[in-house]
Amino acid sequence: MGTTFTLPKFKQCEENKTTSENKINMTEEDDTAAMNFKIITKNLDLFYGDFQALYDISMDIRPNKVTALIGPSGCGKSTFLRTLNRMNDLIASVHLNGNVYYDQTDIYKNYDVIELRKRIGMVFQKPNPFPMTVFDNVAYGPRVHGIKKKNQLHDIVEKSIKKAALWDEVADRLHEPALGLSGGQQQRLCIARVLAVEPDVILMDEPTSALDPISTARIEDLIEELKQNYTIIIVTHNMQQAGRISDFTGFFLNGKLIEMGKAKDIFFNPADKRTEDYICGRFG
Amino acid sequence: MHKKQSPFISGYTRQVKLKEKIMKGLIWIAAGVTIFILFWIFGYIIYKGLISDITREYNVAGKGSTIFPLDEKGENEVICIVHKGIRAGDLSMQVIRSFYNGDERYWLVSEQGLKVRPFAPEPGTTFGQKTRQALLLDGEDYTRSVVFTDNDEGTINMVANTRGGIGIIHAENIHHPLIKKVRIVPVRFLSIVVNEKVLSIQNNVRLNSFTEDDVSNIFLSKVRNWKDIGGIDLPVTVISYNKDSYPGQQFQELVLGNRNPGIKAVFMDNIGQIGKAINNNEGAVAYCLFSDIHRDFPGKIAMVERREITPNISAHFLLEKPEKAGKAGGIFDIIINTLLMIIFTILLATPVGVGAAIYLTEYARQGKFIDVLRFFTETLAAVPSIIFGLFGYILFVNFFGWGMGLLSGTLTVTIMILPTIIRTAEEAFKAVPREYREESLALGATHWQTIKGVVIPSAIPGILTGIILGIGRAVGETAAVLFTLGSSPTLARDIFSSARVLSLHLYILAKEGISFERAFSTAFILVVIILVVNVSASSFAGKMNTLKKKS
Ligand SMILES: Nc1ncnc2c1ncn2[C@@H]1O[C@H](COP(=O)(O)OP(=O)(O)OP(=O)(O)O)[C@@H](O)[C@H]1O
Ligand SMILES: [Mg+2]
Repeated sequence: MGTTFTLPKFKQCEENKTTSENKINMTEEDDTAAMNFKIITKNLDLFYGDFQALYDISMDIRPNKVTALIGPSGCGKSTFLRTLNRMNDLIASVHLNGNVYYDQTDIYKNYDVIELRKRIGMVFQKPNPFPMTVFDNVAYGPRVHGIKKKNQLHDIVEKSIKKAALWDEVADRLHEPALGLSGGQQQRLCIARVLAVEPDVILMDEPTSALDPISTARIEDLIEELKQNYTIIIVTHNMQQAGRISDFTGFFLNGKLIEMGKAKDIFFNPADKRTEDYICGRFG
Repeated sequence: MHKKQSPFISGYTRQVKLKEKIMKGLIWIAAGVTIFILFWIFGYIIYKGLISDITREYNVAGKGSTIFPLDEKGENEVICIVHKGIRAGDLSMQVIRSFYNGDERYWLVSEQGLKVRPFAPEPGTTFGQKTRQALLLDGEDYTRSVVFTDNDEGTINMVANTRGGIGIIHAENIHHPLIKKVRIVPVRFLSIVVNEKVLSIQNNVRLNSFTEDDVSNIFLSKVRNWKDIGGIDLPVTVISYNKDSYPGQQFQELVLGNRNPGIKAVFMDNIGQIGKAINNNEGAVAYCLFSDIHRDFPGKIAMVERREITPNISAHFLLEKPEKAGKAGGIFDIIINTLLMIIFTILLATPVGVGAAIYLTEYARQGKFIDVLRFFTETLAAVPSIIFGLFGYILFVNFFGWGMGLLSGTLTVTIMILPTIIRTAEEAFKAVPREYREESLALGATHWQTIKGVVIPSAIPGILTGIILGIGRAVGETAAVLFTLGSSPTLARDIFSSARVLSLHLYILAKEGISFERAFSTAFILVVIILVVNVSASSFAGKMNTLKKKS
């Protein structure tokens, strides 16, 4: 619990410096071959019926990094995130143009949606454990993917809960209702539930917005740890959080990706005036 | 000292508060009335179900006596023995006569369907002769089922070994070593007789029957005129046996009770004199042995009411099969039939109903068609059951030719409760948070896996509610089963055999006037079954719910 909540000092805010050069931070340093990107979206437009929610989003997500998506409410962050594991398929009115590649495969053309969701897990804003025991919650994914052996399930459950840094708290309550856990525990349980499916990418849509600061800190620590093995894309409204945990940050505004780059560049040296305004809390 | 200051309150707030008070009052009244009615109904059913409180009319009065005489001289005292299985509390002389002359062939007096097996002493003997005279009206003959015995021991043995057996033996044999093998039943043998005039109609009044109290009051001269107890305007003339005669003593003990002062009356020696006295006095009333009343006796027997309070539900009632159209025996077969119907109905209706609800909420494309479908389902849930009954009759009973039976009945009831189950299950599915589905799908579950793994388990309390409502409707159903399940009051042997269920039994008992008491005890059992179903289902639902709540 050693986390302290110091706000990163965003230098440019204090100095009220305006960046005139409009350089794209992306194309730097370790930007090796495109083959390395975990997820690539190309010219993605998304419509809810007639309403266009996303405009021409092209984004590259690096493996084993935390990518944060920020932007004001209603700018399309969740919508974008949900295109990555095709959760938008559930909404009848949605249609989209453009491509989304996961490991160089177009997920809307050449990927089975079940397989895709196994590989790309999702943690929602509000923790939503199923109304079953802790154990059954975590075992849910493996079970639907055909694992039936008891000891195998038990191993997976234990491993996943441990990975989600929850084991100490629930080890002796595995067979109690999950809804009896605290909010923060529930959210880590949901993460454990995702981990149990052994995904490759984890999408998180404001995973800490319903939690208290201490639970938030624990989840942030967890994200830090998980990125060793997973690619994480997280939507957050909390600028400090984005600054603390993300390696790359993308700024959305009105359905457009305004700026995307290394977190420290976005926060300390944004290329776009609107990014800077948003980060400094001048609108949003 | 400061005056207590009332807090500031604006006129508007006061007005709002007043309104709230009025509304609260109205709501309390409504709730109170509802609760009162509920308790009243429930209490009434329980009371009537548990306790049978009826007033019956008899042509004998007073308590029963284990030892009773064959004639007024009291020289031949006898006892009445019955088979151990007979549950009669006491018997009136009239009932015993009806057993021996063949008017009554079953033990309906004890609510049993057994045949009466009367035994009588050989009429050739003196005792046989006397018994015959006492048991039968002059000119009557023993019915053919009467079996003659040579002596009391023979009677005891026969009665002990014959189901439904009844016999008359000498009172001395009350201590016979074999007597433990039979039951001794007290017999009521004293009748009240009056001059015809007493029971006649005048100015639209007529004395139909006396209460036991009336009887004592008459003979203790507390009633001077028949109009005092609801009869015509006519002075009462009390006629009695001599106080120390056999009937006089018996009457004092069995009807008046020993604590009462003696009778003030015109005293007579024998039945002949009593008959004459009655004939000569318009307002005359007397008592005599029922068995002494002969065809040409000038008086009339007055009916005497007796209030009989007995338990209405017994192990026998629950565990015996119904007999004599439900007049006798119990309701065991009918309970089993009902349970069979419930089980089959649940087995059929649950998968179909839940399946339909799953289709409607999860798979069907929401739109006009589904709306129309939903509307019809809703309408169907409110359609009177008789219509389902007719439908089932035409389709299952006639068209498919399955006849009235468990199959046709269950299918009809299933169709009848399906709309209820579908609608409630649908609501339950709709109430499952969207997030559960999304989370499940995001974990890579298929739609069906999601339904099976998350949606159905979360909806189980709601589904159960629907099933309970359905069972409630099914169990209480008479109209739909009348034409499809039939009313044979026996255990269903196979799926085609007609099987009467509790509600129908109750309906028939009440409608055909067979027995209101038994209708109420059946109602009580019905309510208990519904209660048990409800409690067990809601405790099950509660168990499911603990997984949900707690936080
Ligand atoms: N199911 C839907 N049908 C129609 N429009 C939708 C739907 N979901 C979202 N939208 C619209 O799409 C736009 C983007 O919504 P989205 O939820 O992606 O925003 P967001 O950036 O996640 O906002 P927030 O930070 O408040 O969660 C909004 O204008 C929203 O009204
Ligand atoms: Mg959102």
